[in-house]
Order: sequence, then structure tokens, then C-alpha cells
Amino acid sequence: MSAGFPTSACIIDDDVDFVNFLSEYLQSRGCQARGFHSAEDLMASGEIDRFEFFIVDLMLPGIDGVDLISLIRARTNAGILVISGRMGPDAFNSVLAAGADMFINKPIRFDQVYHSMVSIMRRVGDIRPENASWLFDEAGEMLIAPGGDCARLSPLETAMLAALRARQGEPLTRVELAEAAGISPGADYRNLDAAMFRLRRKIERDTRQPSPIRTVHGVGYQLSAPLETGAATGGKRP
Amino acid sequence: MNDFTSSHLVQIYAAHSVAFSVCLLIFLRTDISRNIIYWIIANLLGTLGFVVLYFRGDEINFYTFVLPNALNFFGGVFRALAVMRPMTRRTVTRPDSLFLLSSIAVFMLLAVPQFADYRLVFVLVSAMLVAISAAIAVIRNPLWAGSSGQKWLLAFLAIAITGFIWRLSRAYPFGPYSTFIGQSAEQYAGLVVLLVVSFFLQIGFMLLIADRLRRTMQMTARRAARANERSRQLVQRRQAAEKLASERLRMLNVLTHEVRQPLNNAQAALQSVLTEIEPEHIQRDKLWKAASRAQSVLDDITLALSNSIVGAMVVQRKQDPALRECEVLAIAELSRTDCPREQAGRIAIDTSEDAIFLAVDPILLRLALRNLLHNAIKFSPPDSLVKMKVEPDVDRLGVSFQVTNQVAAALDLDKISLPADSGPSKWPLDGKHLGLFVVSEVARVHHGQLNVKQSDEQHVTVELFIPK
Repeated sequence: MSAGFPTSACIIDDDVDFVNFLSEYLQSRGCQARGFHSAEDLMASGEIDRFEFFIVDLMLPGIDGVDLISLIRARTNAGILVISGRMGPDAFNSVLAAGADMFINKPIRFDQVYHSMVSIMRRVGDIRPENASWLFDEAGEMLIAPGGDCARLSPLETAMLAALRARQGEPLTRVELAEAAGISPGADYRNLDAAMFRLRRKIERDTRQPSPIRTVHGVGYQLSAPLETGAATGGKRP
Repeated sequence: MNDFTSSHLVQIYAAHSVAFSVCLLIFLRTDISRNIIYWIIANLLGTLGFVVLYFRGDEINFYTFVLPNALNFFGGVFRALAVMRPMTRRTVTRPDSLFLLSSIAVFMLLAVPQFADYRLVFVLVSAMLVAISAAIAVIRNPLWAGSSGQKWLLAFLAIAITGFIWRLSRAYPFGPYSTFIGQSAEQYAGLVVLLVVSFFLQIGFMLLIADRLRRTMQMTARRAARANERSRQLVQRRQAAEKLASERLRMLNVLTHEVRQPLNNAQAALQSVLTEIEPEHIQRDKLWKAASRAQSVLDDITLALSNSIVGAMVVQRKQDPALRECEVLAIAELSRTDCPREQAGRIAIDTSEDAIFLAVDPILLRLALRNLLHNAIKFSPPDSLVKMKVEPDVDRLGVSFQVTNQVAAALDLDKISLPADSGPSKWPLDGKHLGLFVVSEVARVHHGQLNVKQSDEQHVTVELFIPK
């Protein structure tokens, strides 16, 4: 898969009109689009590996959209955009957890589909990781993203990340984090929050991915993605 | 003198027995229970037994020995039954039941002429067994648990049993001195002890009944309190359900109001389109404008529907939404393209970043930004620029979405004033400012803020700030 606009796309939606209109639109943009009205049709076609991009509806007859996304993601690194009328947070979280790249709720216009596809291709284009874990090189003061991009850390940032890593995904309070990183927290932990804000921005800018750190409101911070430890060689995974 | 004194003792016994029975009859008015009825029967039998004993003749026969002792014995049996749990076929093997049945069996031996010398032995042993049965019943009956009367009864039953044992040592062979009422000081002392024990047993039983009544009243009060609490909760639930139904009706009213007018406009716009596409009338510019207008109206309908549905969802949501790191520039771009096509060109997204990640609910953020842009377009001169600036805010440690537009000359800032507060009770009843209400709700669920400021006379900025 290359960054830019995909040359082939697969639309899986039981709304026949929507599939036809969107196919015509994408073809007018230079993308060979093919529609399927159920997950079973797609599986039976045996063409999953052929497409660079998938546009999936959640409410499908038979195998539902979330399961289909998992099946597609197990077979290919193609971009996956979910377009659905479902608005609950559960739908949103389940599709992203299953491996989709973006979730958009209906109604949506075709130019928005286009922009979303471009955004996904720009972001994940040809860097979709084989390994979903981050690599933390504490000695080398580096954090390597799943895609291979490297963020170089200051000693303070390394200490904060090490403290979060030691908690293994459980929330770390501001008091604990300030102590572990040797930060003078101040009355309202402003110094700590500012340092954490800078660290997350640095990770996001350098790796083009959301940082693996999440704010736990009223508590502190926690890791939100798997983080392995090890030595990076030349700013890359060994 | 002894006869005279014994006569008084018998009168005192009868008097105390009647007095306590009257008290129990008063209890019966509020607590009609088997226990009280049995105890009153026991008092009646005991009193009759003592009266018959007192008026006995010199000769010892059925009427002077068996009858009074039988009355006293069965009085004791009824006392035991009064403190015992109901005896049924299934519970006949309980210790208290067994002792009681054994006592009756022993008492029946009085009828055997060959054991005539053991008559007093049988009477005392059966009385002891009845007392033991009553003591066990007092201990094991959960009705009396924790009552002060329990200790009284046990103490004086123990005294009675001790007295029976002491008397047992002289109960054989049977003779004239073997009755309670007679000339000897020993008989007189025995009668006094019996009277004292009986008196305190009566008090003990009264305490049992009084404590049970007190507990019953407390339990009734607790039940009443629980019933009141349940009733109060039901009223609250009903009120909450009515409030929810009322909120939903308001939302429906708002939705109906907000959608009906644009639908009329859409019908008008489509009518124009149809007119324009008649072959003899085709004018490309007019057709384009009419079609654009139709799409714009449909966009407005979509926004009104989304605001009502998402607004209602946010208001009724009991907990914070599940947030996930999202690239918010893409969401900003989506909200820009949500705007009518002819207006989207007026909107410029201004940022110095390639990508900004923030933990948000993307559906809510998209709708909030769409509303900010909708307001900016609505309250700005046609063709003027609307700028949406999306930047990390290093001072406030979050991301700021600022929508700035030129204000129309006649615009009063009050028209874009923010809702004073958010939450379910602040749902705009008339549909006015529904968009800003939704934005303020989105800010609230993301722990953020919604601010408005007029940078100069011609420009106003509405800012949604969400902490990272």
C-alpha cells in the first residue's frame, strides 16, 4: 500500500444505492471500486488481498461489520474506513479495537469519504506496523513507535515513561509519577502535567501516531498501548 | 395458726394468679397469641388445684390428692406449652417435647394401685420433667431470644427443680405428710416457696410477652419505615420517568420545529429545481443555485436531527464517553465539509501541525465543530472568511478549537451568548441556541470549556477547549 489515494477499494454495505453511488464517485476519482452487500459475499469472492482500501458498514446481514474488520485486518494491512449510522461509543471503540483506521457516522457526503480516505492513507500509508507494540529503550533514551519512527527522550521524559512502564498499564497517580521522575510537583502538579504534555506532543510529532500515554482524569496517567523494553540500534527496532 | 396461714397463702396464690391472668387478658387485646392463652389456662388450673387442696378432707383419696395434683400438674404442662414452640408430629422429638411427654407418662403412673407408695415420687418427678421441658423451651424458642424474662424464668425454674429434688428425698413412702398443705412447718415452707416461685414465674412470663410485643412493634415500625422508603422511591422513580418523558417530548417538539421549516424550504427548493429542469426553461446558473439551496437545506435538516439526537444522547448519558485518541485535524476537516458546499469554501482551517491527537469522542467533536461553523456562517456577512484555528495550547495543556468570524453589522453579541450552564435541565425548550447547547455539553463531557470573546468590533471568536 502506498501513501496517496488508493487505486482499488472495496465497499461492503447492504444499502445497494449507497454502494452504487459511492462506487461511481470513487471511480470518477481514479479508484477502482467494487461493492459487496454482505461479508459472506466478500469472503466468497476470495479477493480480499486484492484491495488497497476497505469501506465497511457495521450493520451487515450475517457476519457483522466488527467481525468482518477483524477478518480483513488478519489478512491485509489495507486502510479500513467504517461508515455507519450507529452512534454509540461502544460501536466506535469496538471497530477501532478490531483494526479499523477511522470511524465516521452517517450521514456523510462522498467528498468527505474522499478526504477521510486521503487522511487515512497519509497517516498509515506504507508504515502499518507488523508489530503493534512500542519499544522503549530506557538506556538509549528512545521510544520507537510500532511503525518504526523514533522519538528521542530527555532524561526526565525517560524517567516518566519508565515509571509508567513499571506500572504495567495500571494508572499512576500524579504523586507517584512526580516522585518517580523526580519532579517538584508544585501545588497543583502543573510542572508534571506540563512535562507530560510536552512528552506526548513530542511522541506524536516524531512518530505521527497517538502517544501510548492516556490521561486518567482526576487520577494521573497510564499507558494505553503495549510497551516493550529493549535496546534500539540506531534509532530502529533491533 | 398454720391452717389459718395456709388459708391466706392459698388466697394469695389465687389472688396473684387471677391478677396476672387479668394482665394477660389485657395483653390479649393487642396480641392474641397461643402463648398467653395457654398461660391463662395454666393459671386457672393451678388456682383450682390449690383451692381443691385447701378444701381437702382428712382422708387421702382421688379428690384430695390425685385431682388437685393433676390440676397443678396440667397447669404446669400448659405453662410449658405456653413458652414452647408449637408442638407438631414432626417436632415431637424435640428435647422440650420429649421431656413434656415423659412427664405426662410418669404422672399417669399414679393410676397404678401397685405403686401407691410412690405417688408423691411420681408427682415430683413429673413436675421436674415439666420444669425441665419449660426451661429448654425458654432457651430454644427464638421468640424469647434476648428477653430479660428469659433469665427470670430460667432462674426460678431452676429454683423449682431444686425444691422438687429436695422434696423428692422425703417422698417415699407416701403418707399424710406428703401433701403440700398440712400441719407441719415443712409443708408450710414448701407452700411459701411454691408461691414465691410462681409469683416470679408470672413476672418472668410477663417480661417475655412485653419484650416480644416491644420487638413486634419495633419490627412493625421498621416495616412501615421500609414501606415508606419504597413508596418514596417509587414516587421518585415515577417523577423521574415523568421528567424523562417530558424531556423527550420537549426534544421531539424541538426536533419537529427545527425540521419542519427546513423541509418546507427543501420542498420549495426542489420545486425550483423541477421547474428549472423542464427542457424549455433550463438555465444552468439558476439550476445550480436551486440544487445548492436544496442541498444546503438538507444539510440544515441533518444538523438539526444530529443535534437533537446527539444532544439527547449526551444529556441522558450517565457516564463519561469512552474517549479514544483521534487525529482531530481530520475531524475538523470533516466538520468543514459537513457545511453546505457553497459555504464550505468560506471556511479556512488554520493549524501549524501535521497531526494533532486528542482523546475525544469523534462523533461528538465533529458535531460540536459543525455547530460552531454553522453559527459562524449564520452570523457573518455572506462571502466573509470564517477561520477555524486548531492548535495545541501549551499554557492550558490541551487543544484549542477557535472559530472566528466577522460579525454582521446588526449582530448583537447576546445572540451568540453561551448557555449559562449545561446539563439535562438546561435543554433549550424552544430550540434556540440548541447548537451552542450541544457544544457546551460536548465541552462538559470532555472536561473542557466553551468561551466566546469579541476580539474587535468586527470579529467574534468562539472557542472549544479540550484538555489533553
